[in-house]
Amino acid sequence: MILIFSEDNEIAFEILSKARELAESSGSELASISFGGGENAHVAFGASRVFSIQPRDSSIMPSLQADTAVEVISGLIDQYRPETLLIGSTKLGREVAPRIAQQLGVGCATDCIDFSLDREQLIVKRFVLGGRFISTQKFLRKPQIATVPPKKFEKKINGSRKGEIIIIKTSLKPSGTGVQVVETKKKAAQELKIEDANIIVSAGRGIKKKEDLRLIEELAQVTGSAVGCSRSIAADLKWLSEEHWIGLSGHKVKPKLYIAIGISGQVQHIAGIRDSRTIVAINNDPNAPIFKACDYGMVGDLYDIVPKLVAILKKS
Amino acid sequence: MTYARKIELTDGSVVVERDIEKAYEVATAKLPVLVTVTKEINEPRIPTLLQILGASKKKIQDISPLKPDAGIETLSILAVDMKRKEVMLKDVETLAKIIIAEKQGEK
Ligand SMILES: Cc1cc2nc3c(=O)[nH]c(=O)nc-3n(C[C@H](O)[C@H](O)[C@H](O)COP(=O)(O)OP(=O)(O)OC[C@H]3O[C@@H](n4cnc5c(N)ncnc54)[C@H](O)[C@@H]3O)c2cc1C
Repeated sequence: MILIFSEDNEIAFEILSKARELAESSGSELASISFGGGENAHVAFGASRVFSIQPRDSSIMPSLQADTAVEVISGLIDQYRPETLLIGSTKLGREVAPRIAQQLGVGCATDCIDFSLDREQLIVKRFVLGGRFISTQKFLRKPQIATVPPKKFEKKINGSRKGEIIIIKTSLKPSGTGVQVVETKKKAAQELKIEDANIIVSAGRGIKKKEDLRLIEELAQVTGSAVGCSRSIAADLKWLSEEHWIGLSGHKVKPKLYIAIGISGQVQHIAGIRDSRTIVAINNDPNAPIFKACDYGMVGDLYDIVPKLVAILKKS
Repeated sequence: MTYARKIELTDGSVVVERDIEKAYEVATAKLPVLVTVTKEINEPRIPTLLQILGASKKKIQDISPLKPDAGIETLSILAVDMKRKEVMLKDVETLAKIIIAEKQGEK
């Protein structure tokens, strides 16, 4: 059995769609875990069995804690012995996966970008060494536990697929760790989800002053894009907030078009834009590494090029 | 306790503010406890010259590493090859045309 878990249904659907291929090529069963609904959609995206976890003594689904997820998933592993467990790489998932692996004394491969299954042996690919290299790895013991980043795999729905839904009622109160939640403060709705942008105009240290970001914003406006930036701009200078930060330690994006302006193109930045369809770069240094990582490049002063570009785009 | 952006130690227990996906969560636990922190936890201070000089006198203890058993075997590590067109443009008009074309094919 291949077992899927993400508390974020969108990610669960993406993983299910990929895992469906694996299940078919290996003849494995594909099952998923749902906390808080969407069971039929889980089936349509590929699960032939859905474990629907519901609270025993209330109709309200409490917000899911890692402790609870670990307990419930460990219970399912005991009972059904899946050979593979794929977990969505959210903050919760990145905590839950290694904890289960640790309990069982098995391996856990995080942020896997590709999977293949040779009979029951899972082979994964992941970026290592600062995003410069891709490592191919296999598991020595089962279950084989891997986490999968959001937006990595295309969702594929098939509304006519049939599946079994197994309702599991539990207390949803973890027994173990003595951690008590005192208060939950909702974050202000994030205005920007840069992962969702079709076009991103991104600023680097080639921008000399904070006010000059206006140039980037104008270009973003005429092209209908979101504004991104390198780590220097977000972390060192703090000219833009963390939501805009792109790269290995920031957001990983795959827009249709990525326009890098005054960004040198260090590997840690490239690691966040590698899946973009088209990359355009503007930089005044002809030897900047970004020109080896872009589709279209233009050598020149951004203070000269960007305003001209905005003027032309405004006219057309 | 994971993703702590603030930690406060009180008598025998710890209060942390966790940065989770859609909220900040304040949670407490009795010691001993393992806390992992996010990068907002602190701004590292720049050491003074005296502290830098003092550091050279501190003793460094060597510990031999544990033999890890990650349960995973690495089959290969290959450099990422990123094949891009790498077309260099000479004028802004061409650049604008490309952006318009890409924008139209955006969907
Ligand atoms: C563990 C680790 C994680 C990291 N994670 C990230 C990450 O997630 N995201 C990230 O971005 N970085 C990350 N970095 C940092 C990364 O290595 C680079 O330092 C950073 O990306 C550089 O940002 P930059 O390109 O804006 O600045 P610079 O490297 O300073 O580049 C500025 C560029 O602007 C050009 N320029 C200057 N003036 C002009 C002008 N007038 N017109 C046109 N071009 C001009 C210069 O030629 C230069 O190429 C990470 C580093 C480490 C070690």
